[in-house]
Amino acid sequence: MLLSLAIFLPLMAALVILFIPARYKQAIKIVSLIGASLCFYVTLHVTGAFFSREPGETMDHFFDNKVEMTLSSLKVEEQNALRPILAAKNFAYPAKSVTLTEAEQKAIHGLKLDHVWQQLVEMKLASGVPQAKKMLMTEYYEWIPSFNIYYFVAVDGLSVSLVFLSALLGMLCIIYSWNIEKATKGFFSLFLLLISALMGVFLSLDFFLFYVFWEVVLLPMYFLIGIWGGPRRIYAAIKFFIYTLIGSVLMLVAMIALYYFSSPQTFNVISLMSLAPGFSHDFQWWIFLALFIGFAIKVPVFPFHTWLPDAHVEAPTPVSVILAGVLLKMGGYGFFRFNFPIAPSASQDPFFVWMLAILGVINIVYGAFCAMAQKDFKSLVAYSSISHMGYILLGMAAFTYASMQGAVLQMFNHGLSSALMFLLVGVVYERAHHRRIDDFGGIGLQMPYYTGIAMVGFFASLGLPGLNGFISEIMVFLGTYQGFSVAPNTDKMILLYIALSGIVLTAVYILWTIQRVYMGEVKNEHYKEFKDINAREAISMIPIAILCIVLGVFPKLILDVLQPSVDVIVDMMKMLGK
Amino acid sequence: MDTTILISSIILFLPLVAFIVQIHIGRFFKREGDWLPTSAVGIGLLLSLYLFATMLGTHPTEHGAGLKPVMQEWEWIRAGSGLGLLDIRFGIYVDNLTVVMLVVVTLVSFLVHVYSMGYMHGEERYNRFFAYLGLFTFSMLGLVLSSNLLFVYIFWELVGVCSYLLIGFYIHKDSAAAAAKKAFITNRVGDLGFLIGILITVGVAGSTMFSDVFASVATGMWDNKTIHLTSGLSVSLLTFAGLLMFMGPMGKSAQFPLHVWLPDAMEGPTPVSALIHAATMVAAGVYLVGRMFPFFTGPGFFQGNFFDSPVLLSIALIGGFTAIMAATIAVAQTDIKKVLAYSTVSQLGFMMIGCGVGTFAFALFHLFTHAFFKACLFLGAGSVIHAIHSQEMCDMGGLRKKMPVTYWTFLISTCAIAGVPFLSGFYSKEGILTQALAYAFYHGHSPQWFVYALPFIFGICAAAFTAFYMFRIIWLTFHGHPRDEHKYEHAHESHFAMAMPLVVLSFLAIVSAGILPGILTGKAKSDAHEAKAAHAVSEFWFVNYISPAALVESMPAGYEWVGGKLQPRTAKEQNFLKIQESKAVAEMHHCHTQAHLPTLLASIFVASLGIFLSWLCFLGPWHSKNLVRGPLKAYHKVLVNLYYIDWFYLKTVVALTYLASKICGWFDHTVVDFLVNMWGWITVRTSDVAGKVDYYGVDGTVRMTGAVTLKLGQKSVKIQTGRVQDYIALSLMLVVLVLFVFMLLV
Repeated sequence: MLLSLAIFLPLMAALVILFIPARYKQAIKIVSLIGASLCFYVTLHVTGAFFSREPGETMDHFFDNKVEMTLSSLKVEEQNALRPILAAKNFAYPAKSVTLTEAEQKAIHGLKLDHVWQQLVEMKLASGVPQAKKMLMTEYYEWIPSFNIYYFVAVDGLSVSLVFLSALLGMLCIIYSWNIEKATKGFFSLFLLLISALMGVFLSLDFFLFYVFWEVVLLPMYFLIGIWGGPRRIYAAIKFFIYTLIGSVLMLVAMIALYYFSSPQTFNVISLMSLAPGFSHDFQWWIFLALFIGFAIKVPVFPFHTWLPDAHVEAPTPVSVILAGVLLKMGGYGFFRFNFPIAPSASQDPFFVWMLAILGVINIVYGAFCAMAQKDFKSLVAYSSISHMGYILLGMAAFTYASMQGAVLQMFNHGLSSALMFLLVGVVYERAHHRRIDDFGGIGLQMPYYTGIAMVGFFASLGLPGLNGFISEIMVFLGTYQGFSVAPNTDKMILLYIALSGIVLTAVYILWTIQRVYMGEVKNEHYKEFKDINAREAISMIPIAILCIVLGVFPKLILDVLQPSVDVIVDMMKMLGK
Repeated sequence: MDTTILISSIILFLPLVAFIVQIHIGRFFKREGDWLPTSAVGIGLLLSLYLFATMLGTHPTEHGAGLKPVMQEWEWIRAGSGLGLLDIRFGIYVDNLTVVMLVVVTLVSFLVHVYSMGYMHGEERYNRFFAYLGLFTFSMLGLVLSSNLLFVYIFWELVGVCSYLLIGFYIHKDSAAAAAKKAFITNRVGDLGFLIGILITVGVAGSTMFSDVFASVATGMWDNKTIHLTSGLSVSLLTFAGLLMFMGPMGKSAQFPLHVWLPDAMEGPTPVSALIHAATMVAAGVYLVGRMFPFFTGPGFFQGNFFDSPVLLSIALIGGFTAIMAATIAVAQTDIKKVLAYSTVSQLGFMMIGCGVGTFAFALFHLFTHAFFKACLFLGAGSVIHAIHSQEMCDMGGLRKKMPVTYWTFLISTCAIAGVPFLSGFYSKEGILTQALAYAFYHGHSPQWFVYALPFIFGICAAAFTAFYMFRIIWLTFHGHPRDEHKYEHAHESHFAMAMPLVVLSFLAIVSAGILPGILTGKAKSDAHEAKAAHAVSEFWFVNYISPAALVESMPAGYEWVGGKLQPRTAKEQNFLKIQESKAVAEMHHCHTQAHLPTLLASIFVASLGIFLSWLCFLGPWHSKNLVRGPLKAYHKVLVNLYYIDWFYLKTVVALTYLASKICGWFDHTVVDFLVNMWGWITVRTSDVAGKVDYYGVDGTVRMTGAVTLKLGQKSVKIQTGRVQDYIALSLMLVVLVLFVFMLLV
């Protein structure tokens, strides 16, 4: 119930807003803040479950109980027919495909139990997958029975971090957007729809449902950039929309292929994990590739990244924050949730391992160099995002416990630090009405509080120890070293060494930016009138800055949540390896 | 918890608390809260002195004198299991070396805090300055208290960022902003090597804890591990890791070729230069080399052979080269702080020579003494700058009458750094040079003996230059005639808050080496002789406490996970590290005895020579001859341009990075994005064509059909005349036509 609330509360707020006349701007803002805050409150409860001693029913138990309930709701003779067949099948992970003998098929068909049987098998398969043991708060309802599509949501450590991030940033962005006067009603209702869709993406475990939410994210984003954006907003919005759509199409192909090749046919992601090892290597290879490109566009991975700077530069500040903070993570999340467990054999294919590692290194180094070359403050932050996303790819390529956890943590940390950086850029843009880095200077003396927060944001991005970015970087590096240094295949070490140079390059462009924007002589007399941040800006930035520090000093807080869910992905691969 | 750990934790965390309070609400307090970090460090100083006294008073054992090392660890990051285990803990480790460093850091830091109350009085952002100082002190203390390499790295970076904030404290000055950036980035380059070294160490030893790393060296876990750099060239992994790890100290302790940031760092307020860029942070590199000495030495360490490691030789050569290079540059500088900055680089080079030739104890001792006299010199220079508002020595002269306290304290410290006998610097430098000469003797039979002799040659020359340029400051600043009468008139002695630290530090510059500890440790030494612990007792008090044996032999074995909890390892696993007696030690002892007297004479000689020449050139008879315009003109130009090293970096590394970024930016914009846009363009064109085809082709056919039908209808409508005759005629014509066609076909 909690998860559905988290998904639909913002949507309900959006619906309420539709009934408020557009001239009551304050009311619209208050309703959206209430919606987003309630959503965040629910998310806190969900997150809290991962810290409690009694986290509640895990998914495997949920499905075991559900199987029993389904069976016992049938007639006695139907039960008698089904139970032995069910008992004869092997549902333990990896189950490969579940096939029926002709006699069994006839029996089931005779009793008109095909659909029930399909449902039972799906649940049995899902409950056997190790990952199901880490999933909480399962909700499982039929949605489109003819295609075995379910409203199926649950949460584990991987998704909860991103759900928390979405809800937090969503709420803070609504506070930050308090000064939006252009078409207020449209802005806030679309923004709330965006939050809902993001929640849905991270929580749904039915591939079809996931796909629906994935596409729904595009829609509000398109309008938010296209209407409230900068001068080239139409170009940026269309580029963003179409680029992502190309990825979605590939994802759709992969999804449909998985559905038709699985036996029984299912969209259930957890069940698919159990069936996946049964697919041929070549099939998995293509599935991996299709999903990879789909997600890579979102991450974005070089060379699919050029939509990002355009979208960021044109998007209004709060939309940039969500874009960098959460939307990019959809891609990374997809890798962890889909690519590795559903195409396990392909994900260990040397081709893909090398590809991930090389693309990761390119992202890190090339992104950093590009960031250095930017003249626009926002564009610089956008390229720094590209650079930071490279660590995720590198961590995935190495595929050790530490590197995978580092990669997931990097998603979360980047979500915080990039969000903070975009807010910081937004603050200075509102005052100066331009974003040309070279024309700033000396902001530090005029706006000491703001600069204090800026230091936290930029140094977190730089990977300074004591702030969150360092933790994920060091974990990726240590884990990648473990993964790449295993004799005799140490060829990939050179990639790690190149990637490590990223820490210097990051320092170069971040410090150069700080120098040009915050330090030095005041370039323009006009800057001397700048007021320090106001309450609205402070409230939206300080929580992020505090989280950056807290998670940098006590990384255990979040690692304890992530660890079980990420480790299980690695464990599953190891089980398959034997 | 052990009391020592408890005390150290208090020392460590007090400045942090002070920082957090000060940065947020400091300005609401009386005097903008400057007393808060100051008292936090003051308490830390008292506690450190307590630990120091305990160390001096502890009865010596066969492993050496001083504290029994204690360690406490806490869980921080833990991921994976088995071979993939990543287990990073926060730990506090206290032994003699730590205690010495604690005293240096808290003492200098406290005095600089007090001094800043006077020096920074009335400055804008005064409260922030004290907050940053507090954060720095915390980070620096964390660095020396950490029990593992990764936390050293963490605090290492944190002191770097404090240094960044404080160099750029005059935020409105472009030069300060540039210097701050340069310092951080140069250090990051060094840290990159340090980090790779740590990664390799974790890969082999499975841990970053000092004891585990040393154990991995002792138990041969590094044996037979090599790394192939290029085809045909391969080095042992331990050497490779050691050299990379040394890049960290190279950056932080400003060793060639990463020294370029330190002179620029003088853009910061003078107390910062004294605290961070002279006495404490820059010494962190030397501390690390000392702490990791067994690692840099390699397995030979545990056979008592500290003299054959390729890593140590590199350290000695780099240190030696840095020492002489910086000393020569210092001669030509006119900015008083720049001279002191290059002098610091040079002295750090000395310390590295000490580490490299195998006597890290004397290197750390030089760190200890240098901290006091160099801090005193900087604060003295600050006092002068405060009085005349200029850093250029050509604006000074004759100030000794106006500023007697500053003059006398500065003179004492100058004598100390120049190596005047019986002052602290003499002892520490002497120790290093003696060992360097002994090192040369030891390798005298080797075909590359000259390479092994270089550290000593560099060192002794640098010592001569040191005396020369340091006394140049004295002559130019305090003696002779005032060069700027106006400034001279306004000059005045600094008030108590600034004078007191000078007096304390110069007092320490006199006594810290020989006299005071000699009194304090006299009993301990006689006890040690009674204990007849041969290798634990040395002629010199400091070496008793900071010896190779003290470094590893009584090291706690560390912690391990037992039932989900961090527990100290069982007692039987302790004391697994032993240094065996070997021929090398005896041989080196022999060389050392031989080297003692020559070095003593040589260093007294070069010091006197330097002072004399300096007097000759800047105050004495040659004063009026303008040497730099005459015979030394060309060389002077090279020196003023700092051997063109900064220029070279600007033209190569910086320019290349900039170029690369431009190329990437261009490539991204014009190639990658062009391809995307081209796809878009192609799609639009294709759709255009498709639209045209659809409009004119498909739809055209449909429309044509319609149009033709319509036209036909319009034409044929004329047939409909309404007259019967016309219809009959038409029917008949049709029948005839049909019949005609039929007949034709048949």
